[in-house]
Amino acid sequence: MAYVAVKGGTRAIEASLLLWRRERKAQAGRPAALIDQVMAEASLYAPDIAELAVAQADGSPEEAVFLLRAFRSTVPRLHTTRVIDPSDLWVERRISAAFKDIPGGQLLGATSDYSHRLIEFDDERFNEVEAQLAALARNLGPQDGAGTYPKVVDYLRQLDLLPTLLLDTSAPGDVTKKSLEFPAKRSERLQILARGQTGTVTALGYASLRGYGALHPTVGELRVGRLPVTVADPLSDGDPEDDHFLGEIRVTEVEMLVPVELPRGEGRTDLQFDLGYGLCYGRNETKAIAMALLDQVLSAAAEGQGPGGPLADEEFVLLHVDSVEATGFISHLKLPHYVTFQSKLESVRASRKSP
Amino acid sequence: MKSLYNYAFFDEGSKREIRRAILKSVCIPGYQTPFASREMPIARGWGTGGLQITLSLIGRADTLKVIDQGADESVNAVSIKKLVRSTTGVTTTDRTAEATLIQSRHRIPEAPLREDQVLVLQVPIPEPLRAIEPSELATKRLHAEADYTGAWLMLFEELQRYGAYTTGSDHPVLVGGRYVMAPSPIPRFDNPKMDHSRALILLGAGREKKIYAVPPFTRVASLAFGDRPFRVEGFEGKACRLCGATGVFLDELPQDGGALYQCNDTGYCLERLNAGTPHA
Amino acid sequence: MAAFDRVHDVQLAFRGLLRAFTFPGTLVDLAATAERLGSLLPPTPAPAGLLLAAATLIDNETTYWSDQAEVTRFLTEWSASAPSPASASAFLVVATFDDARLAGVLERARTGTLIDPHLGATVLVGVDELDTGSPVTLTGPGLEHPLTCHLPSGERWLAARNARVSEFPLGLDLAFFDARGRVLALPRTTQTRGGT
Repeated sequence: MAYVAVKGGTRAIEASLLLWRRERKAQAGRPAALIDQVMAEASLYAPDIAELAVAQADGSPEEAVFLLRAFRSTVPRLHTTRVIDPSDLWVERRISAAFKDIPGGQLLGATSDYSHRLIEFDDERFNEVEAQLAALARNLGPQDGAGTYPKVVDYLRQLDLLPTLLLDTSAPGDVTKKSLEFPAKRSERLQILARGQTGTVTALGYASLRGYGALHPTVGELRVGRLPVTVADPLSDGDPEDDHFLGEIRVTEVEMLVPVELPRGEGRTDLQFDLGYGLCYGRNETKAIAMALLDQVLSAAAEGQGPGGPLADEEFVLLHVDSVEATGFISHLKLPHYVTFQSKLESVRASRKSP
Repeated sequence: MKSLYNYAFFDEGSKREIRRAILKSVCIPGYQTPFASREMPIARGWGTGGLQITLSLIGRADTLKVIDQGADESVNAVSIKKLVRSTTGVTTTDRTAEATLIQSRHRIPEAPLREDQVLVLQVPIPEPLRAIEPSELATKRLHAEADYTGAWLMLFEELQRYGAYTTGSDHPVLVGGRYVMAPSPIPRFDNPKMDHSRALILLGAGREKKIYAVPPFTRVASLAFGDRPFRVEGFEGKACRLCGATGVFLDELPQDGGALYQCNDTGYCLERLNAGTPHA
Repeated sequence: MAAFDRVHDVQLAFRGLLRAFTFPGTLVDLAATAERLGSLLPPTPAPAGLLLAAATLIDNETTYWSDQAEVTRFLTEWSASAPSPASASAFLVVATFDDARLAGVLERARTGTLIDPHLGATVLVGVDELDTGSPVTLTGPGLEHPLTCHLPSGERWLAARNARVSEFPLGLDLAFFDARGRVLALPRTTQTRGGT
């Protein structure tokens, strides 16, 4: 499926659609995208338990997230994993909207991006998929394309179009262990966005794109794939050879390129690219892109840059994107408010009686 | 399924974190101590702050009472009691005097509390200055500097516009002469019960991730101007239609041709009825 | 004797501590629970009640320091986390009482900030006996009437403590544990009169 965007694109898209159909068939009705969304919003990578939660919630994402979060509160947190380097991602899909021909090539993987959204009233067409894929496989190996790839942003750094930053090795904050204080650290912002409600993060990301934040951003690279998770052996001297492999997590990673102005003095400005980063559990590309947009706006605002506006107010963004908090507080309005209403009623009457 | 969960639902690390916040809250009366606030099996805004406090306090020797807007049998009180009972097996009661722990939404019981009891209040919005300042960072600074002009201005404007305090429930209080505090949406009627309470009062806001406390025998003053004293809701000339109680907070029951009144605190009302003092 | 129960005994200990901090100057008995720690205890002169309190409150999500190596080792194992410097710790565990040394610890302890006064340290101190010291009269939240109780003798620690709680809400919160399994707490809000 490696393809160059001009030539061979049609075949790559056809192959991608076939793969996508086959994945859907293999899922056999399992709502994979919903399970991914629920795991991300719950901050708990547990596909089997998330599937149980989705079923128990009759498919309601807010209910399923709620179930999984409550379960998460009962699980002791014994270890912190080794730092996971996303460049180790075992890539199933990677695209760049910035360059046609990126080092390693574009890899569409299975995607519905190019499908027509027509309800399929019969699933007859599933049966054709296998035959077509078999024909395709005669030309391509089944694993063809999957693997690790160089990153587009590294290429831009080589060209000096993106600033090379020092690696920040400070321990990240954990908003589930300590309540958020402002100004928030970037690690905390990213964590809150990564577990934010998909619809809310998308809506705010959209607002940033429409006029309240980063204008004209570009998807530098979007990747979907699997990352290995390891913990250090508590008895070892820290030798990575002694690490324990826990398994893999599937993630979506996005690096957005946002043009920003860089003051050069004497009233002149240079243009440079700024990076927005998005990463969430499972496959949820829209959310990861929106997250990257918001990351860039909030990071710029933290340094006193950017256009301002509601999205640059980190309290406004970070305190309102959580599914459990938002749905819980809104739904509590259904609870009896007899005492509070009685008290207010009395105030209303008192104000009318007063001269 | 039940055996999969620890005693009192949380793992021990979660409880410890809440317990540390409770202790600091007791040591700094009226100050909102931040805490991680784990997600619960009940929704944010439905008493998760109170419930987290209750679960981190509760043990085999406790007897629990839960009330919601005065009622032991209110849907949410029943739901919270059921969750605590199923994860701890503790005894629950409707009788205020029998309880060691009382979790309540928006009421302080009519029966006087004792030193050996703990009252846990559920709080939706712990920040008394939130109405005048939306930013958390800014309100933390105002508390740090004990700058409460905004709270006073709010009350002043109420007097100017309506001729009376119109805070309804959640009328702000000054705790120990230092911190302005949201007493949770208890009616103004209950504010005076906080002043020099004999029982420890713990307040928990789950969604906003804050715990705060009013220790026993601590001065709690409702904010008011000298010439316009604080006033509780008045039920002059009205009595409970069931037990005849006066001087308690009454629910208004709209009827054709005028309202009826009855005790809001159902546990209190029932005890009076059982003691044979109706229509006193 | 029943083994220590990491759920129920810790809960009992916490309620005892909460009672002590709620009613400053009141002796609260933790002896039965502390006794069950039994074989888990390190060889140290520190009272069992002190270690029970430390184990109840400390884990790998907070910070601690102790003046005594055995206590530090016990807490490192219990919490699976390393100790921190005294001036950066949320919990300071002082194994045995000494007026001058305790004064030194109190002078170094965190008292929080006006924005975050809850970052003031909790200082847990082991003493021999809690009702033999000098009489001190306490007032403040949690006290219906002025209460006269016995605090460990020594003029330096009390002066150091009073200096560090003089700018409320900044301050530190103290608790003393004796060999008979009793605890007495002095939150930062408690004002003292008398003492040596």
